[in-house]
Amino acid sequence: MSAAPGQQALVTIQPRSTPQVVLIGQPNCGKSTLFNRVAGYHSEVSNFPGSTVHAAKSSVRLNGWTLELVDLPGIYSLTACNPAETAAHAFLLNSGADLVINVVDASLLSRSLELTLELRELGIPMVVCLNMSDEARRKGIRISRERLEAALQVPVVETIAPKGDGVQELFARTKSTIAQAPAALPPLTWSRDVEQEVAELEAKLPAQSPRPPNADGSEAPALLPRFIAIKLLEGDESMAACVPPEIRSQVEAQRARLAEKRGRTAATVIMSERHDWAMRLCEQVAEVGKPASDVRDKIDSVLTHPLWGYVALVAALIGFFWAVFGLGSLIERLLQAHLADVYAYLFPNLVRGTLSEAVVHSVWDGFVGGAAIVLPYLVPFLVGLAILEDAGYLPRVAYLMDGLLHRIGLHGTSTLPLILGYGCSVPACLATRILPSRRDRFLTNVLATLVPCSARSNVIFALAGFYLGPAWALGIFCLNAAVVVGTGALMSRLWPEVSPGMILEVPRYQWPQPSMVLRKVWLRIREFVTLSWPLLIAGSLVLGLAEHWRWNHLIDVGLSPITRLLGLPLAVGTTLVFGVLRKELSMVMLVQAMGTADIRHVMTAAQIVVFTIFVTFYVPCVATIAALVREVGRRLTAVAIAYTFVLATILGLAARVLMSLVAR
Amino acid sequence: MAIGKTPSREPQDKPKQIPLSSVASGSRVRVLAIPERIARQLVPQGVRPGEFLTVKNRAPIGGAILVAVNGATIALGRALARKIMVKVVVESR
Repeated sequence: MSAAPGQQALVTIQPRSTPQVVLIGQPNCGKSTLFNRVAGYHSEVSNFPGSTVHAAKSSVRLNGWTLELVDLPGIYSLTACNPAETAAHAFLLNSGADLVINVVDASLLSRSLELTLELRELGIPMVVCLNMSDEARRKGIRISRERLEAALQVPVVETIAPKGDGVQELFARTKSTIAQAPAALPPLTWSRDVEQEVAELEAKLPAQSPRPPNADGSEAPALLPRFIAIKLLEGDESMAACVPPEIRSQVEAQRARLAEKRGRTAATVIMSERHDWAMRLCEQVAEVGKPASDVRDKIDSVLTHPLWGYVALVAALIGFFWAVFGLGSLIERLLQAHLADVYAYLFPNLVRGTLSEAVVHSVWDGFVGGAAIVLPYLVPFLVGLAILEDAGYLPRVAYLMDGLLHRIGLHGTSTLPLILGYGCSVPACLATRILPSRRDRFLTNVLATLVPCSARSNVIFALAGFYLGPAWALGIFCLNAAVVVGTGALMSRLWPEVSPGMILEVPRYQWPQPSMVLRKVWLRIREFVTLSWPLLIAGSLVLGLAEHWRWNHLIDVGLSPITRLLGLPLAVGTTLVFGVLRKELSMVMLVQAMGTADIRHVMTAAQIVVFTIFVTFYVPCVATIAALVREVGRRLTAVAIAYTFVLATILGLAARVLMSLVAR
Repeated sequence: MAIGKTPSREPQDKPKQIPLSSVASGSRVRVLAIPERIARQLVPQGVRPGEFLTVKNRAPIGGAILVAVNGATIALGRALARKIMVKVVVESR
């Protein structure tokens, strides 16, 4: 195929005050890194495909020029396979972007160019960002930017996004491309027989196909007839729904004709045409030399080894656990000791039992709870998770776990949301959008909310770990993992389905950059500091006042069937209610409710274990419930909530019985 | 259609098709056929008929298979790999 002399009209765009520029490319090509580079840290970046699941927008000012930059989920092609990709397509086709920046992983040039060619057919002004050019060089690939630019007839800029190389130039070219009178892109012509079919169908389509309005009522921009024709021949169902029935039958006839001529389905023919074009272009613009020997390949062959890979995985998990717990408990001990002195120093004259004492003491408890119980564990945990994410270890875990997850009716891709669930259940639920099947998404959502998030891990570390010893904490984590596996096995019995299986790209390892890790950790901690911590203090105050005026007994009595059943002190009832708001609250409030900083004085070992297990499993927090409703709907969310509550009660009761046997 | 063609006498020049799932790690293979249903997802990631793959590693007990294709590494579930027919080009050492 070569560029034909005929010029094609560009999509007409409603003028808008600030131009909208969309970053699009294949998964893990560095779109979000680029986005964060210019927009500040708004978009979660990780070294695994599918870390962006919805469009992130930011208004960006560059050298006195304002634009709206949009970071979309990665797509391999313009045919969607999962909800994250569907979201990217919908945005690309419906928002009327002024320009697309096609981010291309230079080290995977030929594959990436197939998407570039597809995007080019959209007729939206385009700039190609040849990212990761350092990786390409390391692989021995030398790309001629000029030749690529000449062949594609769009600006091409080389960048190394994490270092910021070329980013200035990229946006300078973007600005000048938008400012120009929209230069028409000459269409690419296909092999003669395919081109005939495309041209014939294109001629039958109206110049402006009517499109259904967007969900928000705004008008969807018109698409080029040529683009529609190609998509129809490829068998795109969403496009077929937009054209009248007589065109649809025409499309079917043409697809059948093409399939008969080529002996392959029309979709395959068109995909191979693009592939051949991309391969030829790649040969024209790139020279492939000898790759530099890469130590990462050697590391990878160990970490994905059928034996050593698992040894390394278990070692990594245990190491992670000890590091977080060791560091957390050390800091907690230090802070608890000193903060008690600070309190005595600050408020020496408060009399116990007065209203002012109740207010000061409960506010102080809320503050200390955040500072000395939550943050010491949360920060090391999030740093560790961010390092694993950015290094690119998680897709390897998905690969290693695929066989095991098959036994519970899921596959390796579900590992990513499940691991993210150890951080926070809300992003874990969002991450299920990379799964193609609806049933897999539901199962993974339920399992990901069962996984103890950092708040619940905190309860495990700071209660069971701190008071009873780290082995107890590890035991509860193992119990949780067993329950997750059991639940998965049970649910896939109830809802069996043969899913096609895992197809997951495994990216190269990258050195986690300290600044990126810190920004990501801050983004996640910020929510705690700005939202949960104040809530914690407010909750503590409410509880303090309720205790002062003895209202909490109403809640405690109301919840007494549960607390009695589990053999817990009545006073923990209130903390369980607060725990639904934020899981950390149930522990911090426990200190407040029991009126002591040393839980061992007021609760037996058995009670601590039962309480920790109950809090780990019962009812997801409010934010997670909202995320679940969005991902799986109200009915299934209600099922999930009921399940977790029953599960927590049964496990709590079992723990109580077991502990009483052990104690005897 | 040739008369008297028996299943036991396959032409010598016809490549031996085996599923990707049964290829030893370290082998280099050429993809011969992918069912249409899974091709939609695989082809844009570079796994297509005619392409060469290197099997990098195989996870034990029915686990996934790690293949290198055109500079990218892709993890494929075992059930999926069973449906991809390949011919071994270079045996593993």
